[in-house]
Amino acid sequence: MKRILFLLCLLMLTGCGTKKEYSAQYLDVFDTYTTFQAYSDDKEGFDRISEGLHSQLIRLNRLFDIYNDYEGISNLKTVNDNAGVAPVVVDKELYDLVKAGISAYDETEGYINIAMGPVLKVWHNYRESALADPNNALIPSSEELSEAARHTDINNIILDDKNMSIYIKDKYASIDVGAIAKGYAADRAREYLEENGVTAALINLGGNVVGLNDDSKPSWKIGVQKPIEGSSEYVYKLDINNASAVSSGNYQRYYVYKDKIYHHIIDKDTLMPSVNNKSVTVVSPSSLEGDIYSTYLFILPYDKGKEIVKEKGLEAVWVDKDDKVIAKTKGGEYVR
Amino acid sequence: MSRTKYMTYMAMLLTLTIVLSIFESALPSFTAVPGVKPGLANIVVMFTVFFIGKRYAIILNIAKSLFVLITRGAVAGILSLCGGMLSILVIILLLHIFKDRISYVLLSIGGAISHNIGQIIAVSFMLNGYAYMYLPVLIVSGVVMGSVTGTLLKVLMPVLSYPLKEAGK
Amino acid sequence: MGNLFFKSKDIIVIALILTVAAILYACIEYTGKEGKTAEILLNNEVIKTLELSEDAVYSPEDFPHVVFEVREGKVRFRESDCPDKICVNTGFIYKQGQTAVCLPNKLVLRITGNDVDTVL
Repeated sequence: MKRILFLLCLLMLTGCGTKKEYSAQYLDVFDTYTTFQAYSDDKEGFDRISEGLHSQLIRLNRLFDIYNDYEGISNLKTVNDNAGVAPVVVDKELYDLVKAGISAYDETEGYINIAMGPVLKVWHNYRESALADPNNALIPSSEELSEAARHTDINNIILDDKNMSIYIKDKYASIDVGAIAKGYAADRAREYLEENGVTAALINLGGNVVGLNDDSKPSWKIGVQKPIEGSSEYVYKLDINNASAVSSGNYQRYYVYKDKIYHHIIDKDTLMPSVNNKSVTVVSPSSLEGDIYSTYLFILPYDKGKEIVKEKGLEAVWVDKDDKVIAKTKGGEYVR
Repeated sequence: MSRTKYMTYMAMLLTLTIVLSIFESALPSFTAVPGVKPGLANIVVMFTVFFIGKRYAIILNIAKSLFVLITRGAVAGILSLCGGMLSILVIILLLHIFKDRISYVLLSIGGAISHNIGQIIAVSFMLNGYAYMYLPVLIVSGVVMGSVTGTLLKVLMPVLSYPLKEAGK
Repeated sequence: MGNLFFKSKDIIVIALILTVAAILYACIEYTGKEGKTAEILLNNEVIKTLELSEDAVYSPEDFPHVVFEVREGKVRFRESDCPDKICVNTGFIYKQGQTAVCLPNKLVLRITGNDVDTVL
């Protein structure tokens, strides 16, 4: 009896563990709400890691920014401003990201196109003014959009591996890495944590989640939100273990015009917000891959998307336009 | 003991159980945990397990739960049944493992803790709650009430077993 | 039956059981995270979600005598017309997974968030 109780005590002591979960939030990176959770021995250790991570994210955010200049760095805005003028030598991270963007173009039949800048800018402007003044929301005309689309050829982007410079040939063209930047940054964040010996952590960069797991935290539970309602209701729950989960959804950035939602993911074929799905979540080893494929699958109809998921060995959860939930995961298929 | 005598004896025990459980429900609730009561009626149930037979203890518990079901509704009835059943099973198990090396007070504590846990499991199922939060409170209250019922059992034993001696068992 | 009523060694066993309870309690206290929202359930259906960030007082439509109160990130049954008052006696709850239950009214107050680590 005593022995049993003694064992019970031991079991519970180990169950308790010595590491504690800490969390931090950043409101100033990637125009989104970022959360960071990690298991650490003490608060000081966590704060140190969190500060390092935060400054890393701030740096990447500045590099990938297309709206603001920062002193002393050449960012994507510098590259865009120099379109048709001159190549711009950039930091490795920005160069790598643009390069990744170009291979994403080939992988996704051009649906992920970082050269879509001009079209995305049109939508960005309409969205900003609609959000500032919802009563006078408008949508761009098809003329305006097709005019912008004339300057979205991916071949306008010229990379120079030797000098690590980026040049945009067409002076009206511009690069927008919105579809891949957070995924890339999440992967870098994960590397930073690994280099600093963090083995159990979760970063949520506004829809791009990366989880690190060890024995003390074998998996992270991710709730896939119900589109638009934004309630605490989940349409699906995922377990990830040393992996990334990324959602592309119509609820992340949008405005309303005549009771219709105009979100931020633009279909290159129609130049309009895509209509096939309300959200797609992809689980993959790399967050960059997850970012690319969640956007790609979001634009594609489910029937085409499921083939890609099968071929690429990904896990994905769709909420289609009729609110049907379809999950293809390791655990099998789930439809509701 | 004759069949009639046995029936009378069982009826007496059942009455005692019911009286105790009514008395108990009149007491103010001292834990914040839903449905958890001291389990005074357990004294009789335990006595039955120890001195009459496991089978009769189970029958007694079902009868008591039925009574609770009729008088206090389905929820209370199910709670009573689950708590009582787990309690009896644990006592039987402890007796089986430790035979005569375990004291009545410990048996009683084991029974009381499992009585509480059985009830809380039932509550969790009914209300989809996360009842594990209550586990520490339940264990402590089990220890306290188990000691009390164990001691009361000692006091009541001569009275309760009188008919048994009478019958020459 | 040769069982004794009480053995001196029982004290040790009881002490151990109480230690287990204390450790369990410490674990639950220690690992619990503060919740952000509370759900009120009637017959297992969520009838209302309360944000714990905003102080509020709420009474369900069909239960005018039951009053919930949110204060400083915690929530409780402030009043109830049930006979046992277990729900009111539970006091304030605020950690994920904590519940306060009113069995007579079939009402459950539950702090949510325990089920997922983050939301996409």
